Amino acid sequence: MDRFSKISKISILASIIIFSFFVYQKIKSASVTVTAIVPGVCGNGIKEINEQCDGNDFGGLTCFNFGYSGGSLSCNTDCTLNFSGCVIKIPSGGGGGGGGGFIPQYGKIIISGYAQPKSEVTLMSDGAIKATTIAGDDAKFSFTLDNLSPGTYLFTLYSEDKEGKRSSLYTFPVKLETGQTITAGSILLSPTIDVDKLEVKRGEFISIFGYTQPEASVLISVGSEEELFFRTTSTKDGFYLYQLGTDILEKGDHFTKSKSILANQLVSNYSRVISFKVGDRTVSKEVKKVCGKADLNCDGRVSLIDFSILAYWYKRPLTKEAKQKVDLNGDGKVDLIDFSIMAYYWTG
Amino acid sequence: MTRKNTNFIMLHEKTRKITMKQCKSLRKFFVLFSVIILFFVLFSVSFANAAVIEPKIEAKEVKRGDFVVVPIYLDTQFEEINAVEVYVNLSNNLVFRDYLDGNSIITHWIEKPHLQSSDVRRPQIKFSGIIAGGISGRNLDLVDLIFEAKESGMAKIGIDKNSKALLNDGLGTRTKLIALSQSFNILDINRKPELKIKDSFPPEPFKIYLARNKEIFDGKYYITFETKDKQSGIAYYEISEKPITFIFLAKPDINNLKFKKAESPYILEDQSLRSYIVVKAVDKAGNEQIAILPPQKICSWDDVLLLLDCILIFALLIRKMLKLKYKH
Repeated sequence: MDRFSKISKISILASIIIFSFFVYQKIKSASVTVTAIVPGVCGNGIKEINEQCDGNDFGGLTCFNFGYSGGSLSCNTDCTLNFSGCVIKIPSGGGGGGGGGFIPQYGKIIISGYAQPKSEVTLMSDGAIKATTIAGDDAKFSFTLDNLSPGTYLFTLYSEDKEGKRSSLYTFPVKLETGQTITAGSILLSPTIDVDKLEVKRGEFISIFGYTQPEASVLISVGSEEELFFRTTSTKDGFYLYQLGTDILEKGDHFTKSKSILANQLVSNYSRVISFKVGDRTVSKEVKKVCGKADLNCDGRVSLIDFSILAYWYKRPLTKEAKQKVDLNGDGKVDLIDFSIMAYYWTG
Repeated sequence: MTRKNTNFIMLHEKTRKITMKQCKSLRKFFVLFSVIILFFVLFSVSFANAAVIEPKIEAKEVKRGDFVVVPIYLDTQFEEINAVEVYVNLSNNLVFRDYLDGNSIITHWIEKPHLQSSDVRRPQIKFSGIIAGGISGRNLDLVDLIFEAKESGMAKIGIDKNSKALLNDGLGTRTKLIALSQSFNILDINRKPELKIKDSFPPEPFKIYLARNKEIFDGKYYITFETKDKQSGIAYYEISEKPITFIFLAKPDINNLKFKKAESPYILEDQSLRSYIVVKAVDKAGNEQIAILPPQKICSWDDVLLLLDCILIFALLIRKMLKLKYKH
């Protein structure tokens, strides 16, 4: 009896300790040092770790990511996703066969959204480029792909601004039925981003800039040990700039990324990540034409050719030249990690 | 002791028993509650930010000889994943026959599904590939594996815990993975193996990429190509190189070309690049899709010299003829 009560007491105590530990961890991870705005809690409009969504920020996800053919996601008050607005379209009619043999009915997808004004938008299907277009002055773009056989497609979008900087990739799967037409609208591509210095003397300013939708709100994240958030607004031509005083940053390596919020409704996913150093001197970023990361043949793209080069060296002993070129994480071998890095920089 | 008193004592005993009972049940409730909380906390912690890979088998029972299609699903749990390496363990009453990748989210295979382990008692299938640009979502089909139910009894298909899923963060960070398994029963009723896949669509249109890299294939020209078939999957590729002869640049008649089976990357036989390269993708139902790479060089230096020679001879002939004409 006594033993039983002891066990029960211990188990209750243990569970309370564990539970409070995780609650503490959660609170700890949510309380970030903030200069401009205070994210970290459900309801601040910014999706963070352990949140499926927050307000209109779905982390770049749409109904398509969850196997639906359309509709829009919404966010519950506890920052979990609500799929009630998502729809599964039933294949459109078909319309009788007529005589003769089997005529395959192809499907169609219409994709539209916002990139940066006058940027070049690329659409990939299963990692291969299918179409490119130039976004309008209002950053709007649209694609129509027809003659699609039924099946699952992985569509990827990215844009390249006036200065040749690329947005991050926006990927979503679509399951297309026979003869079906699917519309994927209101896609918001991430901003492009860059900094003007490789290294900045602590206390001096560093410019974080890029292009996004015109007159959009831009959330800039600067991270090292703690993540800081800053907000700015883009101009009519989509340009945004934030002068960051580095006196609030510790000496060492830091990274920055940005996301845009359009009309307080659409939130893009994060841009690519740019790194810089805070140190004892200032080193400007030279515009040098160098091969991009994972661009193994140096043609300005990361495509099937680069994949074939990497695949050649997979599980093979690397030569000195190959080590410098294809060993993307510098661990002396080509394995799944190198392929993952390549997939991140993929342009098709 | 009076009867009243005895009654009171009995009542008191009763209430004591009830409170003891209540206490016991309350204690039980607390233990149960704490165990539930403990389980919930540990369970939620183990599932938080961990991708899940699992085989999904709809039928709980199949007959001996049946072909079983087992989709391997990925649930990214709100992470963004761009590379996977999966090991699938299976019981030895199953035989791996084939795979379907028409609905796969893998854009490029590093290793297509193949039997990894030579140990017949512990067969294992391995596959790996990338998802260009990364993906986040639930019920994402990695591949559909096809097995033959060879012997009756319980059959098990499980994802090995050594499988990997990497984050789309530009660093190849390995994420936590929950590897699940599933079992089904193979009944001792014999059936002729049969698997019909409806496919009346050709493979997806594709491009041929020409490349040369001094560090691979001895610096020779090679081509890469890849496409998908959304229904039955690609069965094989065939290649034909049709050299052009000087002046004759007409596109080759595909019906009269001699094809041979090949895989990407393919080292070109004609390193002078004066050939039409035709690649035919054939799906498992026999539908075809063709891609053509036109010759990259129309004429060689020999051709240019020959052409100059011809022009020179022609000019000399005309000069001679004109001379003769004016003489007369």
